[in-house]
Amino acid sequence: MTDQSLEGVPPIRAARLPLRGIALGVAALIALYVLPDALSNYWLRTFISAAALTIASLSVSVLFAQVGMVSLAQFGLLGVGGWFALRISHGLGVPFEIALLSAGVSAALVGLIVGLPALRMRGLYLAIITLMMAGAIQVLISAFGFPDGGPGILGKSTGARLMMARPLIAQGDGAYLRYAIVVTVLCYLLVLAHVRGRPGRAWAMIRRSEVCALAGGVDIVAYKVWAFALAGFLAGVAGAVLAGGVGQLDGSAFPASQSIMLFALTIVGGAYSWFGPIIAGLMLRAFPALLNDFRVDGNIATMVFGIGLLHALITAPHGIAGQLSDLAGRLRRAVGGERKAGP
Amino acid sequence: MISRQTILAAVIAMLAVCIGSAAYAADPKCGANTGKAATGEPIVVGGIVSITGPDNFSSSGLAAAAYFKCLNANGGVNGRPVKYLLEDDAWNPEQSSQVAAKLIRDQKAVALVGNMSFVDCGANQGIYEKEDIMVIAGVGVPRDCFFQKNYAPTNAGPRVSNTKAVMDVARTYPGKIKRVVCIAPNIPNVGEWSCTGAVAWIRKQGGDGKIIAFDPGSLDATSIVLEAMAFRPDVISVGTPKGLAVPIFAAAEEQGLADKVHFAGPASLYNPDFPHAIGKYWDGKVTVDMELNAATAGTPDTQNWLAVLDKYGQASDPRDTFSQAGYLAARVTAETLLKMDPAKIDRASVTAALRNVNRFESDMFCSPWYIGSGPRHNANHAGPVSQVKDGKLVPKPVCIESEDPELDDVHAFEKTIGIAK
Repeated sequence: MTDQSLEGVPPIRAARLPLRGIALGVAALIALYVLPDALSNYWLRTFISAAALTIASLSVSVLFAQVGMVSLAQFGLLGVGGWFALRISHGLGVPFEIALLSAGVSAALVGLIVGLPALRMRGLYLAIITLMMAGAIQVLISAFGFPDGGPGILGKSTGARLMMARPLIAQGDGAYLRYAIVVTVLCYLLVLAHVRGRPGRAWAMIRRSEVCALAGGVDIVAYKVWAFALAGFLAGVAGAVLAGGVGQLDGSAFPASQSIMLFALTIVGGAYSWFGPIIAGLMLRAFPALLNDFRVDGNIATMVFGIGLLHALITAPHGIAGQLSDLAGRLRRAVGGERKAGP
Repeated sequence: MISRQTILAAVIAMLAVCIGSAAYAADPKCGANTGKAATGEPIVVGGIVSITGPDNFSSSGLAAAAYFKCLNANGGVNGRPVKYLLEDDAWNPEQSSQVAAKLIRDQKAVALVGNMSFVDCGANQGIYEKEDIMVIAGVGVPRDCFFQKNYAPTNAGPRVSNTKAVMDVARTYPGKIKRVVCIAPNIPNVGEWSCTGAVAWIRKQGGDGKIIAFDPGSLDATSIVLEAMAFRPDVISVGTPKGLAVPIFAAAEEQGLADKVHFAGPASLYNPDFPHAIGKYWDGKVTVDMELNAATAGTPDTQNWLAVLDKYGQASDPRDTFSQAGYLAARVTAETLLKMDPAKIDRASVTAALRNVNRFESDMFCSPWYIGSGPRHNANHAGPVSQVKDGKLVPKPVCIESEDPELDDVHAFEKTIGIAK
């Protein structure tokens, strides 16, 4: 139902992408140089998590805004990526970048499996199927846990736990936040390259009408699978960034409900805007941290998110990012109007 | 002949002594016990507990907070008050890592005290080692809490606790306990690990054991009980939190198992409500481990803990085993700080001083507790057990030393500091 209620929303307009790209680049550069030095250690760690969740939200956005498909398994895929990143990092002692890419590739492969039902389903049924996949991932993770430096396939230690090695150039929290922001920007550029290329055009046709896309010669199966693989890759990378930030991952932190929360807040943030996933990442991690810093019960965040989702579904299908964009447009028009009215 | 006045004087004197001793018992002793509030530069001490989330798991931190308030009202650390900052990790490893960075790097805490969390030990091992800060935890649960150089819990942990419960049943029925089943939730680093001590011990005695790990999110108590009985056990240890244990005991009651198998459980079942929750059927038939001596023991330190909570804590603060553990963590830290030069208290000196604690006595422990410079800490491995009786958990008047083979390195270290012979 959710995607149907938002069917009338136009996709990202290619003509405006360069401007947005420039804005994204400028924002990233500012964040890269100013943010880490201005933050306390509490907020450094919070923003590392927020960066990881921004990438995860971007993976939801790719499927929902570009192809019109709802996947409720993306947070589970983040766990899959984190699992592989930890196992490869501990087992082979490879550089962080290799673990990061391996996490993306392994989650992309699992994402392909998650996406197989999408070849025949969409809407509510696809959402339910992917939620069941997230539940299956939750069961596996809670049963076996994350690798912590031991031998064997599961990598479970019987003694002291190993922490995942961070990149050589980003050992401290400040440097790692910069690193996480760079990875986030690279993920955005990867998505942008897809959206502006052949896959983006094919996804747009599939989103409008699969029949028309088929008539237009679009290989629907291939492009849907491609979208799920790309979204899985992004979720896996997010898992590796998160694992590097904390040093390890906990089996209890990947319930299926988190996948629903990730999807909901991507809608609230604005799935159709490049800024939406950033808002979603901040809402998922920075907002509860802010409440906690003021000693307010973090569970209140969940209530606020519920109200935000209702608001988005009823009055703001573009999400917060859309509202900010509208506000900026009104301001531009107001300023332009004043100029025209002047002498 | 004794005159009436003499008898009256004796009665008044006895009353005065009684009133005086009662007032003495109700007046808590903390630190130097000067009765004067500390006013110097605060010493920052942190603590991480789980307040929000699936359950409020914070009584250890609350007891530590009460003790530090008492300490500050009684001279503090040679005139310097302790600024105790208690943070909530909400059972979330990411949040745990964030609040650890806040306490250690932003607030410059010299030590963390009274921690009580399922996720803290794993999530923050890296920062504890990197910053070389000691954590005198109240309650360690997962395996990670007992395998770190910088993490010393005052409690025994679920593995030691399970082992002691099974050992007590075996000693109560000599020669009759050969097969043990241990039931635990499949929480990584907690569930199966908490059972392997009991199973290893019974195998060492020539018996056999089996671990049943289940998903706590989908508990099917009858299936678990039937699976346990298929092993033909002599003892079933229900190594779960109280909320999960009650349906398992109900399922066992439906099968009429109390007269066929002995039932036991770790300290997670040591809760005053537990006997009522499982019902009269189990009267005299369940052994529950205690990580520390009973809250009702009436010994001096137990009385002091209760007095500290009454005067400096909240009425709603739990008076449970975990609260005892938090009080002990705060007490050992305060007593260590009191021995230091107040002008030279920083993280490095506090870490070094805490690692030098090779003997700490309390009547809540069965044997001396210590921190030491060893690579890991599991100093509390001896304690009493209790029996469900007349709607209460009645302590047995013996201390049981856990014979978990995993403690071999701990015993070896204890010999080097003179704790073990």
